[in-house]
Amino acid sequence: MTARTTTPPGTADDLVERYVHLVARHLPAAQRSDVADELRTSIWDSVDDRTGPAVEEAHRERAVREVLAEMGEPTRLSHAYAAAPRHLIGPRYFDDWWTTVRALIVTVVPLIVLIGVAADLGLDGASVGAAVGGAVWTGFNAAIHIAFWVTGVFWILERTGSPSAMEASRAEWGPDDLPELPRSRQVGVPDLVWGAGLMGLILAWLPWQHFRSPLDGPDGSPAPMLAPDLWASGWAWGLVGLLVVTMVFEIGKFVVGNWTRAVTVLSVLLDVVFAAFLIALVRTQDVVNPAVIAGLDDPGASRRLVGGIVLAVAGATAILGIVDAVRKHAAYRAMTDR
Amino acid sequence: MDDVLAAHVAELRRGTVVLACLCVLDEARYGYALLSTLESAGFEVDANTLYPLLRRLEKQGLLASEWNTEESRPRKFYVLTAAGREVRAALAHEWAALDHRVRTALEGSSR
Repeated sequence: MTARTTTPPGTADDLVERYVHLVARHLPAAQRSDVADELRTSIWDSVDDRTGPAVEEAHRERAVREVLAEMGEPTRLSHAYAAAPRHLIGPRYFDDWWTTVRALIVTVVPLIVLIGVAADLGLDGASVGAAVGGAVWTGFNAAIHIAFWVTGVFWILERTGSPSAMEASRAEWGPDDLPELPRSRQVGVPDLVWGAGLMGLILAWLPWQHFRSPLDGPDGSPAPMLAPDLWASGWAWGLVGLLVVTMVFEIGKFVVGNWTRAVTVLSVLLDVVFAAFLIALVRTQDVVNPAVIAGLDDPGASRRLVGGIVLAVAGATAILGIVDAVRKHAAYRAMTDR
Repeated sequence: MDDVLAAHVAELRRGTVVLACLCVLDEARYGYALLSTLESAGFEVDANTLYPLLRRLEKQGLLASEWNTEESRPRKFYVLTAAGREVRAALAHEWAALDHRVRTALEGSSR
């Protein structure tokens, strides 16, 4: 039915053909030629109406330009013809899509980054910079993947048109479906990432300093920073145990979400036990590997220095932790009493 | 203020395009002829609104279409179906009721 297949460029016919082509190009194959034929006829009808029969080419071309300008941008007209949505995610699914993407990214990506850092430091013995850089890159890739695949799923939902479970549940919505107001929580994702992440970093540091120590012993080969005897005597394993317990506690605290009485008591207990353990450790054991400081003029001085730092950090952490726990528990009480 | 008014008027008219189309399609017409008919009847409709709309109404079963190839230029003719006639009656009824409600409300507020 297409009468004008070959037209000299720049003429009135050429303009119309280019316009019709742009409109019909992205339409489903089934209606493409039908729309094109009808649109072409309509445009020429309109042109003829303006020029009357038998006019010279220049006049005709001017009329075509007028008609096409009035019809407007071809892609917009094409969208008006198209039944399929011209967007990735429409208003129907936008909120669900955004919630899903955000929830997955804030939970999965930090976990991947932490595990990546721990694995690089502990197992592969990479430098801290390389480990963090590599893990951040991995996390970035994970975020891209999450966004891509989730969007893909919602793209299909948007186009299949069958009412999804999410939509069906909304269809029979009533006031009873209103969720409870969100429980205000004191412990958020940042607390979890910081608390559990710090423990993870220290856990990763332990094997790293043992197997990939940057320090050299007297014979010039790498020597662990911590005294290897600590592992044989069980002190280092005790530290590992405490770190793991603290990590589990941090996760538990996040699940509970608030500084309840149990959380507060456990937290204070952990602070005290951890501080007591560290103090006992530096008072009774040689923490620093003797092989590392053997070459120094005054090995005793650096041993005392490390001991002093550990004591100060242990004491300060415990006191700050206990004050923080008591304050937050008081805030929690005030919140729940209201 | 003129912009606001123009936007609201356009919004109001957009809702009446379907009814306007159904009103004049008792007898079969092709796209451009329908556009001219509507224009001379005082309905302001753009070509780029009307042509896609005709296809949507056809898909909904309110219009039927047929290609007429007897003349020099083949044209697609649209005509009301029985379902289209029913919808037109319902819409016209709604239009009259709306007009009545607007008048009543205006009289009430001017008192």
